[in-house]
Amino acid sequence: MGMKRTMAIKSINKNEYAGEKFRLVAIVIFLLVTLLGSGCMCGPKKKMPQYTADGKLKIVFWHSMAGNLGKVLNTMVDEFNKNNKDNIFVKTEFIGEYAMLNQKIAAAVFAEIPPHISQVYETWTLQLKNENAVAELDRFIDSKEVGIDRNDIVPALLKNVTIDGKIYSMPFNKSIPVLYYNKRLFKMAGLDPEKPPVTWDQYIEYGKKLTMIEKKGYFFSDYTNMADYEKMNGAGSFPPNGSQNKVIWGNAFISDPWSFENCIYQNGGKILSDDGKTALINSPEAIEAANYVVDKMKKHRFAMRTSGREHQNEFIAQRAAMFEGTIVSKLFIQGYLEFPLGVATLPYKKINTSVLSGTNAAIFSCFSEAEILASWKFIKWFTDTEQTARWAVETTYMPVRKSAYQTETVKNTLKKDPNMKPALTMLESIDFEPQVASWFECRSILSKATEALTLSDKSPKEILDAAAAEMNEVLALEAE
Amino acid sequence: MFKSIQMEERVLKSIIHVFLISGAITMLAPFIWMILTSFKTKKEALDSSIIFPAQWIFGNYTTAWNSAPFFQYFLNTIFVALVCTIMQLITSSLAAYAFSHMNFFGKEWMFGILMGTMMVPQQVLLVPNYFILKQLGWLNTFLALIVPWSAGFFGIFLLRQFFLTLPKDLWDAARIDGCSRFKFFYKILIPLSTAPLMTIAIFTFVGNWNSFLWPLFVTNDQKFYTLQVGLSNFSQSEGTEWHLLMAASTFCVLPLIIMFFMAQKQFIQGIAHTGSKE
Repeated sequence: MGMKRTMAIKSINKNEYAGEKFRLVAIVIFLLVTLLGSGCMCGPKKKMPQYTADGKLKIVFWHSMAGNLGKVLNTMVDEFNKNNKDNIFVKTEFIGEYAMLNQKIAAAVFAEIPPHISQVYETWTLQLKNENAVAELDRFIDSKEVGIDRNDIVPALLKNVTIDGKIYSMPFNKSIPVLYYNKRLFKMAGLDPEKPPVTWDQYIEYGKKLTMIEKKGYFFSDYTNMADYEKMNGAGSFPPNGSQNKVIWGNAFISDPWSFENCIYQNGGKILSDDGKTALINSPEAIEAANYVVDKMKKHRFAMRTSGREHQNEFIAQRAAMFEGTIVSKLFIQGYLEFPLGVATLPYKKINTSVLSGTNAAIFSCFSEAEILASWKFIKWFTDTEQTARWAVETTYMPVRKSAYQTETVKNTLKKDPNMKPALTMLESIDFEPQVASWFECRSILSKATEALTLSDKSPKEILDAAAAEMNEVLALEAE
Repeated sequence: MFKSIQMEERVLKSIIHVFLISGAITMLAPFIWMILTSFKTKKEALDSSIIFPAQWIFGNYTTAWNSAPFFQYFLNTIFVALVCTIMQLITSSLAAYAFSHMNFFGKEWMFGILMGTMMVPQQVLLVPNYFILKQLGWLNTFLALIVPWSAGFFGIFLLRQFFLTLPKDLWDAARIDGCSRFKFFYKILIPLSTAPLMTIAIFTFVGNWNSFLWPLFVTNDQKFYTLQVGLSNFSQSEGTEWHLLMAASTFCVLPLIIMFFMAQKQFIQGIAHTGSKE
């Protein structure tokens, strides 16, 4: 018995000793890992230009063009790779949605491994420029050997990529908002399908006419029907629920800051003052624009509020006769339609203008001169008259060059598809979202306010006053 | 009297069943919608008022399968998820063992720091992790997909709590009989812990199977992409192709469901095994 106990104690002691050894091994492993780790951390290796197997200089291009857009981009890049005489090979890398691209650029710049070229929004460029991460492009644009004619770039686009008098990115894929309409329903409502609404007043008039109620298998147009309907069935009975009476809406919409921004500019208003320090979203022009947005739904009751992409889906299912969206949706919608489609520029009030969306292409500065020059040569090729015209007709993005509008490519496309007219016609006036570093925050304030316009019972003035105050706070913080 | 108790029980049971069934329906509805949508035409899929497809279109599955290298994505996903799961099981059980059965310098604050890592959201870690991986030269390799997910505090915590509930007598008895620390770990502790280990395995596997942001972030090459990245191909900036997305989602989630049903048995068994009486 006693023997056993001592043995047990011995073995515990032995195990304690094993514990000691265990601890020692742990410490050694820990030290090794830290040493090895720090060994790897000893500064990044100097970046060397990379070449393909056949000796071409490799240029990496990050983009967010999925689906059809990505296919067009890759086809064009393949052609550049085959045909360019400077031994440049551009490798496109799809990074996911813009939000992902934004995060990944931030991380890559921080880690000093950005791509040579990337799609960037204006506010990103502003930040990247402040970190000296993007190359200034004026010296290439004005150079004799690889330059381009400044006067041929659409002036508004050139102005949009200019920061403090210098250019840090080239317009790449710019899209305009348009009005999609169903020509079949236009005919049914007694409207001329070749004459879409041009002004806000017309839009309201058309919207009312296009709102139709089914009675006994027939659709009755003319907006007076709604009043009749309510007379018979009591106030507030329109729109009827359930499957008994089908309704076709004049318009389906989502509350989206972009469409509200358009309305503000079309009414002669602005989002921020020119110095970017004061919010003007509660100016009389902006409030009038807000009323227009709200009245379509609440007063005239021809607009159906949806969310996500339901407005597009309702249009495809022919339960809404019109909707506003980006011209790029055209590619997607076309594959679904069972009726003739009409595409027009947005109806306006005082100024026929559109707020453009989409990105530019920037070159990162931490590369050798040869690589930056090669990157520029690719961008130059891509935005040249012929290529930008082709990019425009195949994707609906706006041509970057004035001369592109005169090319056979554009003319032939317009002949074949009149719905491309909004995309391929020089716009009278173009506006952009404000370029301030805190625009991201301001936009989310505007987005919330836009939502409140159609959802809450507060007056547009109340909502916009509050939003403007909030925006001013953010802008004041930025100024500090 | 006897009858009324029986009645009462029956009423109670049916009330419980009503709740359970409604719960089951809400959980199943998205799956049913997914499968129904995967057989619709693309126009039907967009229309929220249509529930059943007029014609069952099986072609959606082949179209979806061929629209991206899904076979490659499957292999990648299985490889990454499997290795991560095994690594996660090894690291968390060893760490939990140390935290529950050993005394060492700084044990408390080390545990506290680890617990703190649970409070940090993934988005915050994105850039620092990216930077570390770049310094190690692991970007664009499978290491970037696997190593950062090979250890996690959730598993350590779960196992530590479980190890602490096991009777101390086991430890004493084993040590008195001359069992080494490591032998105690793999001979006694691990076999008793099937339930929490299964839980960790399932969570890690499913988490890796569904990871989307990370693979996209640390790799630039299609050959490393996982299933979720493949699925994102169907939703473009101008609209989502629901019929294809749902067909692809169905075949992506199928292995997971099969695995879950298989693991479920183990799961319950694991719980039954741990019953030790004090």
